[in-house]
Amino acid sequence: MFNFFGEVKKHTGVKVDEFHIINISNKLLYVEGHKGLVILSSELVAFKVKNGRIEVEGRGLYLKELTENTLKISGDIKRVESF
Amino acid sequence: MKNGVQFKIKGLNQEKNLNILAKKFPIYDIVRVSKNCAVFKVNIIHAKKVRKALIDLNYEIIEEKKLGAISMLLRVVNVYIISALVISSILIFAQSPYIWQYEILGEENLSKTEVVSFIKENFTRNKYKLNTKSVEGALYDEYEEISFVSCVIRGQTLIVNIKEKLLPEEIYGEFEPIISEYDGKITEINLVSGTMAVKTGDYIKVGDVLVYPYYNDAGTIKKVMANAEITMEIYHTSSITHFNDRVELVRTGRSVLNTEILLFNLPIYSNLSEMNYELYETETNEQNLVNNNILPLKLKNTTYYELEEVEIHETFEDAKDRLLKEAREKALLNAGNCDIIKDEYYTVEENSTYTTINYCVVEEIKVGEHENRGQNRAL
Repeated sequence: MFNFFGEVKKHTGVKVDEFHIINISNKLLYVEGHKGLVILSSELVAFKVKNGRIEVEGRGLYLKELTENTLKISGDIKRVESF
Repeated sequence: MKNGVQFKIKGLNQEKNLNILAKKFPIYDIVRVSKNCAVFKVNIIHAKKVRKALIDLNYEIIEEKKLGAISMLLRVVNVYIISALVISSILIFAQSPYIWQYEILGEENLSKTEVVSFIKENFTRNKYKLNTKSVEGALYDEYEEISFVSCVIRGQTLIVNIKEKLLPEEIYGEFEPIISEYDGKITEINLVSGTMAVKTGDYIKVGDVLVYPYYNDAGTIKKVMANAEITMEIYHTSSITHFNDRVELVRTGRSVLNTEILLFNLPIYSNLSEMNYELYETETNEQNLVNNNILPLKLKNTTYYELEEVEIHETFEDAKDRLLKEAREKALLNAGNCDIIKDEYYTVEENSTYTTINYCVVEEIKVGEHENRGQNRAL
């Protein structure tokens, strides 16, 4: 899969060892650098990141894609919160 | 994902185990249906490994569904393979009562295709209606070469086992007479097989039959290969005429050289000297001036030699030895590869103004020994 931030890092030389989140119109949330899925349900998806945890609330949520360090959450996203 | 496999699984700790799976394979469209039930898709090439991993993680696979064009193609191919198997099975069942292959064993001089076509023309292909005994009898009656024949049906093959009679080799050959290719005289005959058409002392011409390819067995004509050892004398002749007085043209020693340079065989330069000989002969020599074909320049030298008429008077007795030698060489030239020169002689015909020498070389050759059937020509 195309790693957007990986390509940015390659071209800019910026050392990034954190996570990145892109929210597209509250319909799709793209996460890079997650450390593992914690909760998965149609109303709540939670996953670990470096030094914390992210929770995504909404309706009809599902994981469009899950790989070792990226995930895409699709559905009607209401809130994204970091802990 | 267009081509993939959808799994519906049942089990606990799904988040943890999905993380484990995701480290090995990308997972798509993960939907949590209930607390202990989820649906997800994986690529078709990972499906087998994912299935194994799920079983190792003690998950129950409730449903496994193939999706996409490749899966559909595989299903269609499977349908076609099954259809082909069914149709071929039906065809095999329909064809099973018929003989489709003929196997002829033990034939040496008989033609396999001839035997097969005879069986096909005269007997049915239905193996339940075919009587092998009648096939055996018909083959035995049809071919006199057969001493024993047996037929058996194995599956859809009719196996015909033939044992042939031991007949002389000549029976199968082409029968042609021995024909002479020379004019000459028969001196010795040693007949091996056939009937002689000539006898010792006969003079024969080219094309005469020497041995016929048959013999008479108590009134019955039987064909055999014509074979005989025949010794012949053949004659090679030549003649030379000598005139006591004759005129010969000889070179006077004077000559004129003309030079031309040619390009594409057209003269581009000429150095022609004046030549006013009444009698002359020419010698021409051409040579390339360059070693390529781009500019084919040639040098052409033409030499004109002046000739004069000289009257020569030479008696036959003075020229006899030379003339005999020339005549002999001419006769031997006609003989080609001469095996044995048995005799040679000459005759002299004298006339008032000229004398003719006729020279004859008598060669002895052996003809009629054959090694190949159908090649019965005297060599």
